[in-house]
Amino acid sequence: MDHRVDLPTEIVSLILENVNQKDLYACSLVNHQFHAVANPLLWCSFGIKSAANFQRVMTGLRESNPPMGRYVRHVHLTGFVTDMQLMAFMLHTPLLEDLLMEDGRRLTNISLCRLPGCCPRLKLMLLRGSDITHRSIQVLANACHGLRILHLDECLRLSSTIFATLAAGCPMLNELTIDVGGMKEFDIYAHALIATNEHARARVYGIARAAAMDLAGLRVLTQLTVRNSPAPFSQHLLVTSDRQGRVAWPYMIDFRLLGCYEVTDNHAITFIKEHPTLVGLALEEGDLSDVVLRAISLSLPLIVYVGLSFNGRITGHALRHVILDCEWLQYLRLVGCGIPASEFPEASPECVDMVNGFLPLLDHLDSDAIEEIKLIGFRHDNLDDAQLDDADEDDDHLDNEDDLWIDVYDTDDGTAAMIDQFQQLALFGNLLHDVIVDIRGNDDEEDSMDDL
Amino acid sequence: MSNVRLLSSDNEEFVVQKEVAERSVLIKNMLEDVGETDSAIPLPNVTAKVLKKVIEWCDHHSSDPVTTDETERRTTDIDEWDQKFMEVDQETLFDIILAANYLDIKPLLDVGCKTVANMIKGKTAEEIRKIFNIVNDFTPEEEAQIRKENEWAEDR
Repeated sequence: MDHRVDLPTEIVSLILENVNQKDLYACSLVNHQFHAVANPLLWCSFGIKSAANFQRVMTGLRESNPPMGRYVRHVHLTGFVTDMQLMAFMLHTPLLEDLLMEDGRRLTNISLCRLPGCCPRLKLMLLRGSDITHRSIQVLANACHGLRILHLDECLRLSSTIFATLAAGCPMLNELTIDVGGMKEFDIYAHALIATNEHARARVYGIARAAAMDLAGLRVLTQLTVRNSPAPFSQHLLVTSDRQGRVAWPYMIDFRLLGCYEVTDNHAITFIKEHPTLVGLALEEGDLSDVVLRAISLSLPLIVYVGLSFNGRITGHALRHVILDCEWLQYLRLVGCGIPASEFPEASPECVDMVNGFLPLLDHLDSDAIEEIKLIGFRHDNLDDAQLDDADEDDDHLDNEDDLWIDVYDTDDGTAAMIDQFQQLALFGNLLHDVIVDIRGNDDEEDSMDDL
Repeated sequence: MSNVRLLSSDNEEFVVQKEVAERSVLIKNMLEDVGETDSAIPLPNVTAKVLKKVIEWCDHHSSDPVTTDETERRTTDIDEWDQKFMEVDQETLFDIILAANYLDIKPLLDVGCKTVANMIKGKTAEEIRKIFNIVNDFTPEEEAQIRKENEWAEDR
């Protein structure tokens, strides 16, 4: 009965790869063999949520003998940390590879300029809401040449020189998220002021072009998210090539440009055609039209995610086409596109923005809705029509649009009357804006329909 | 389909289809080195009782695709058949794991390790010692020191 089989340490280590942090803690207290296996795993990867928790981790780092800090590879700081806390921490973790700082309000250049020196093996860094400036980026690029993933969310004091710096110091960078809204070189308000002055305007465009080319120097980028992008930068980003004149980011898989003001359909189509390997694409807050969806259908066979929020000219009909054409499509983000939810009865209530109770608008289409749409095809046609080849598509297109138009007119009349009531409610100010944009969008298309 | 003869440590012979036996990378490599052979392959680390279980597993999984993706292999759950298969006494379970390790049958080793991991989940150190019949070889001082160092991990 008391038979005991001793498992070799290598097997204990395989077993403990399958348990969580709390179990590892228990295992570290079982016996010497379990401790030797569990402790490095326990210290390899962990999250810190609170200041009290941080204090206890620091106690462990200081007291452990041999020091456990050398096992630390992946740390996720979800609560806020101060410069002093981060500096004390990083002294113990020379081999740290991934550092995620979700709340960087209290982190500045003081700690982040020292971080790369203490942790030169950084591969992934995420920093949200910090006031760091270009100085921290300069140090990072000088010390961490193996950096692969950099997410800088809501860090608004950076400058556009970051792209040249990263391209020079971190040539392996695969993923980059950056908020360019705070970069004063292409500050959108300053830009609005100088819009009348041709010389100044040309200067801003020149800077934006150079910055886009620098960013293109990060040749192996596979994921890029640019937030709050002002017009000059967005335009150049989509049509840029690197300094050798080659297509920018030939390996791009996921490209998200949030802020497409003044981006034309042609800019977007050029980009789509040059990046046939895209799996995710977001071009939001622009004035893009259905021809961009057509380009997605034709040029992006692998596309899974499409974000086109706040592009008021996109129509439901074109969305149906893209859904039927793109085999792998799983998600379409359509916030603020003004597409009445009534055009997509396949969509579940979660897909609909109910804030505006009078005219529910489509928020997104998820995989369930997309699957449903693929089954049903065009509401008023049979499935065969959807499979017509390009030549026939234009005629087909018109027929369908006629049908859809009746729906839009119906809802339109209803909302026009309601708008008067709405106007008295200042509360709904921005809501009203959306509705008006929506109706205006429809009017424009109505004209173009008449022309046809 | 050619057969292969395997000889357990207690000299019991098993005749298995070649493709079943080749789930074991060790045997596969041996067969490649030796070529066609009539003599039985001796497996001095595996008893007949355990070898029978291992062959049963290999037979059921003989047509599985070989997964080379490490993370996929690690994250997939144990399927129903494997769960039933692993409902054995602890000694046999450990023997199967050791045999899978020796014979180099990675998917079986994974299933075995996951089964043991499931026995550990949610338990205290004392409970783990009881389950696996492990003697606590820490001094009280050592144990207090580890508690102090690792206390942070208990938080969640």
